[in-house]
Amino acid sequence: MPLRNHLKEYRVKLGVNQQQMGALVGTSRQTISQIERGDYSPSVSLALKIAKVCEVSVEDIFQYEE
Amino acid sequence: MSDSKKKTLKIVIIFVLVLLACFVGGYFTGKFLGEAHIPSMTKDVSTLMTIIKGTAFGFCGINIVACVLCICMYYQLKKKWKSCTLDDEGVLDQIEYKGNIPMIISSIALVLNMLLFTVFIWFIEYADKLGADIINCKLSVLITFATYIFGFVWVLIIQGRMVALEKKMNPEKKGHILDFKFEKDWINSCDEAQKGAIYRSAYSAFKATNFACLAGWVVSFLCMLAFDTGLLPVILVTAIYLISILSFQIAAMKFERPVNN
Repeated sequence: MPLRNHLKEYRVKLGVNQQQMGALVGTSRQTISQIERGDYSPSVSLALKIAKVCEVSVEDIFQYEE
Repeated sequence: MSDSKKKTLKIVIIFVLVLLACFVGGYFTGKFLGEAHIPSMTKDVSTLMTIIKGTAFGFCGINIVACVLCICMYYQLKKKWKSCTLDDEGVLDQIEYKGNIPMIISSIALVLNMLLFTVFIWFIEYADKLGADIINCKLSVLITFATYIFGFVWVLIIQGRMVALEKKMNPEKKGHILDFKFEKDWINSCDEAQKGAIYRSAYSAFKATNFACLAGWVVSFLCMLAFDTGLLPVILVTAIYLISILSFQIAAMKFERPVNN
């Protein structure tokens, strides 16, 4: 997948586990796990929610690589 | 010639070669079936009785093995889940991944039970037509019927337990396995990534079903000619093929419906 993400780093900085992160952004632990593993690219709305919770921009967490 | 035209030509050539291979394969298969002596079902009553007993005990054995396997896996996964915390992300992923195995085994067992039960009944009817004393098969009949009910019950229990474990691990999940709306409730409680995984899995199942229907049509057609199995198998296979294709295409059409029509 051409999308690179730093979600795990920001989640660890926040001090929450995957389940708590999922609850904060309105999704499941499994989805957070899949995003962190690079197995799933989140929708625009989910990416924006994640960025808002981490208090950074979307581009800080997700980078598109050719 | 442009690259796209070369690619198209290559595809057409491969398609024609596959068609020719099918024609050649079909020719030799037909020749073989026409000339070969195809053995028919035995008419020896004692052999039939042995087959009937073997089917009954085999049916029972398969269910017991599958049931024990699934129960062991379930308790292993439950123990692992109870001993880990929400911070053990890798372990939780492993549990959810391995949780698919008892579901697959129980689903295979459910379908095999339907098949083996039907096969057993067919053998009983066939033996009865040959004038065999069916009373001698009382034990086999009892074992088969008991196994069929046992098979249905243990599959339901195992799948129910696995769903309950999944719901404990992921409290946002909804649905009870005995509810007829279970699939709808479950998928409605899934988020975007899980729905995406379900839809991709469903598409893989659709492709596999189509291939199986094509193969099933060939086999049932050949059996109709060689073993006089009648039209019903061919009709059933083509009906399933039609339902599969139509349901996919109609659903796809709904998603492409223009907004202002």
